[in-house]
Amino acid sequence: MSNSKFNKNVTRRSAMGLCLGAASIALAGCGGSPSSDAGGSSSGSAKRKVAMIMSGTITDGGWDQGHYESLKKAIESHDGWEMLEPKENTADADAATAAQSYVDQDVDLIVGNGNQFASDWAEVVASAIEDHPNVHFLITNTDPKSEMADYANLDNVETVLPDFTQTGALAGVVAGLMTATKSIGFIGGMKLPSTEAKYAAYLAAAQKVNPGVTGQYNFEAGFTDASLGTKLTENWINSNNVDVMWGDASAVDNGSRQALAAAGADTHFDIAQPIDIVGDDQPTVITSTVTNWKIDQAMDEIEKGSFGKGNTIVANMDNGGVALGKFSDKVPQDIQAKIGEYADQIKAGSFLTDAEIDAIKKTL
Amino acid sequence: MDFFMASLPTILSATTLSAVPILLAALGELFSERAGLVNIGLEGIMAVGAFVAFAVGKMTGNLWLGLVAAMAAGVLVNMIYGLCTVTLCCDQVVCGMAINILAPALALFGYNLFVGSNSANATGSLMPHIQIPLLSQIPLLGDPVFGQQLLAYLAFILVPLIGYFFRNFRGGLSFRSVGENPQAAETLGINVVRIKYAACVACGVLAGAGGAFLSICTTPIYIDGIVMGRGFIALATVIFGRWSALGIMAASLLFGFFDGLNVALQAQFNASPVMFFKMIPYAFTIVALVFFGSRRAGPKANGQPYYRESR
Repeated sequence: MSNSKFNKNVTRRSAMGLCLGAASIALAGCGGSPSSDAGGSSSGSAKRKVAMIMSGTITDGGWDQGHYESLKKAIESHDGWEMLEPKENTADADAATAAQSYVDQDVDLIVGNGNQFASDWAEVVASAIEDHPNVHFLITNTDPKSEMADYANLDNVETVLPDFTQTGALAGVVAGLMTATKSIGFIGGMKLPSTEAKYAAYLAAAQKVNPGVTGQYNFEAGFTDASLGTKLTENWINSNNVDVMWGDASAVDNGSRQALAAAGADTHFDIAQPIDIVGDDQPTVITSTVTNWKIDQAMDEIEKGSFGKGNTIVANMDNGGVALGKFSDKVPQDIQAKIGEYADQIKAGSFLTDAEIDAIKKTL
Repeated sequence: MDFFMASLPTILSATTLSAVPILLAALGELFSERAGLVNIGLEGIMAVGAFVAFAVGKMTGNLWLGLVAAMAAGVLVNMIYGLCTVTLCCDQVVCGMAINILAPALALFGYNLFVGSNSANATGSLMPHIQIPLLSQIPLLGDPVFGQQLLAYLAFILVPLIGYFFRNFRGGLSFRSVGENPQAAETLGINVVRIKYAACVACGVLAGAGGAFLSICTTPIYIDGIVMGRGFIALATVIFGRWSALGIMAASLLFGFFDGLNVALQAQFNASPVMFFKMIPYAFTIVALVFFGSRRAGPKANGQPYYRESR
């Protein structure tokens, strides 16, 4: 009977008013302060600028936070540089636009925290070489030979690759010396060559310091489903007596620690990565394998004018790119001393042979 | 057989852990669909619920306050859906999708404000597990089934209560009549618009609680994408459960069982292609919808806008 499009309490006019009001509030909310330094220029300052574009958030307790901590360290040791606010949660589809916005501001160094940026940034990098030659790009966890083959020019690009064998071996030594059941576990977010390299070195090192250690692994747990980490670890504890875990899957590792804590934080341990999180609020974490993404080295190279040409910065134990974090008091002093001795051998390259690591890889 | 027996505790505990958030959200959807509103925005409401429960629980140190705040936030978000679909008579599917885009973005915005670069705020706490005396001592079954958090027990207690409400209470019958034929219900003196808004409130409360379960019972963190499609699974669960509270519980538990089986298989067959195992719960959902997905069993006026005084 009635032709009204809406139910009676809202008319077309009031609905339009509502929409306009909502739009005004949204626009007001979007308007940033002109003095905001996020991406803004700092007039009167001669400092160089560094910006980071990341796939997650700076507090994810894993991959992204590790990169942010590396950037903060680099800034602390370089007075002539300032950090722009990182762009978090950048989807692949937005990665090029985000980079271009920094290129347009003549930011000196743009860091992409993962190899996905290598494929996203090819065009941005190419055009920046022509129009903004003072802009430099650093992409982490990327092998330029295999992942940047389509780049016509790498003059303004470098990449960072950690020594995954060293990282895995450090974690393996700790796991091998701390396991009482001779059963250790590993969760990786994605099945990548780097994930397999880490696990192979982890298990090989654990078996070297404690023969007979067996390993459980999952390489495709993703990075967000913490409950999967809990359930996987719980299963391994129940079925395989796993008592030491090492994770490479951000939020999933957090879930794993819940299962370890439920099984007993005095007998079930976690080795965290890539930041040092040992503390009272992490009762199961006994130490961390820490990665520094060597952004400081890239800054040094830019200052000297030697940055670029598609070089790869290798983050390892020699340059502080790979290290063990603090130990919790659950690791006895004598074990800590042994770990120190093995760490020296790992640093010297005399601890594991390629054949020992390859033997594990073949079983994966 | 050895594998199954060794994995049974994990499968059972994973069954309840996976089923509860889906069950809560699906019960909310039941209220919505019984009143003729197909709300596909559950995923977004759960995301907001997860964030608010985490943040308020962390700030106050009281996870129950976090849960209440998550329910209130769920209602607030769902009122946008209610305003658009009930008052403005917009398309329900489009509005639901808009909620799914808007709400997680709001949650992420709130997370960035709350945590920012302060990593001390990034980890909250979890509700304690409560062992039911005697029952939790049953071999194999006891701990995984009768060692849950209080919110999980409450979710299962809600099932018969909601079923009874829809069958025996006048209010429940009003919901059902609005979902079947709102014009006829109006002639009987039922305020259809009010019932639809009440359904939005109930849906917001329960979906918000479902999201809260993820951040205060499953893991003490909030992360973008934490809901991981559970809102959509909850929608399928309502259809598979034939719009009955008991059916929804059975469907949620079945999904949880397959999720638990998936984890057990992943854990024990390391070298196998685990992506295949991950498909199991979702493949089950599709198969279930193929066989039980007929919408003829659902409320007749489901998904249709209601124009008061029109025929």
